[in-house]
Amino acid sequence: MPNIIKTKYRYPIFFIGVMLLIASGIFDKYLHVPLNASALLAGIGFILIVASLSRI
Amino acid sequence: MKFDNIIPKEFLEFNPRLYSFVFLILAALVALILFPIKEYMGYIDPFYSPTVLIIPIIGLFRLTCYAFRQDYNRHIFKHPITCPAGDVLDKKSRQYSGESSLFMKLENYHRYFMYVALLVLPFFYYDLYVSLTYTGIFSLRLGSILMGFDVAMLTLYVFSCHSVRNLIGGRTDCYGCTLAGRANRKVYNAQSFLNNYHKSFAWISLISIIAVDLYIRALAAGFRIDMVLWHM
Repeated sequence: MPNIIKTKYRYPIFFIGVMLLIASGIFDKYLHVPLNASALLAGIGFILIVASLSRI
Repeated sequence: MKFDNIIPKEFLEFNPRLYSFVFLILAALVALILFPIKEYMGYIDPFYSPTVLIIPIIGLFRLTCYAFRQDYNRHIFKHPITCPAGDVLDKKSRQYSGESSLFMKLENYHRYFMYVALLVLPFFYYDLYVSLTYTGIFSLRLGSILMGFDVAMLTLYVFSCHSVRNLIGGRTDCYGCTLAGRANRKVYNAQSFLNNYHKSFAWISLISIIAVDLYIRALAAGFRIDMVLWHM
């Protein structure tokens, strides 16, 4: 499988993924953002985390 | 007073990646405390099992783990960038110091954090049992499969640990000289096979524990994604 994500970008992607996860919780609890939107944000964050750690 | 023996040189350099990583860990800890979701519909969140207070010790187990040490030494501290390069690409001021700083001594306590992790593992199995029997009868739910996978990965991660390898037989000089040496050697060889994949188990178990936590939070938020796949 080709190494699409360059190594130097993997940690920043991981960092952004975790921050998106935390942000989705904050948006839902304190800013009362619609649930679907915050869930989408959390989902994107999780995918970013997995992508940064995978062989992609 | 020599600060080198207390704080490694890598910590004293300007390193935005290190600051962001520390911020990440602190933010995750604060988020876990701000948004507690201990149990929902028979699913006990692994981060809160048995208690959220155990997270710092389990976190230290992962931070002092050989697999994660390789990753953060390469990607955060860039010391070394890669094994073959060694000192060639490193700064002159950061030559190998023999792990003499206080921080490096903390890394040596990994085996004690491993003992705590071994004590915490049975709680995850109990949580899996609760998720399977929550409805009163044995029922295999989607969340239970996810939890089962997570428990399996965590078990493999802990038992493939380098400290476990030392505990099982790595500290034995002569297997023929000890009681049940042959059996001990076989167990050690089996664990060595697992140890080859320790890095993979480390990352997969981290992702799976986050996935289980997110799954339970999604259920608690109202998403109807759970289903009973089979029941007695």
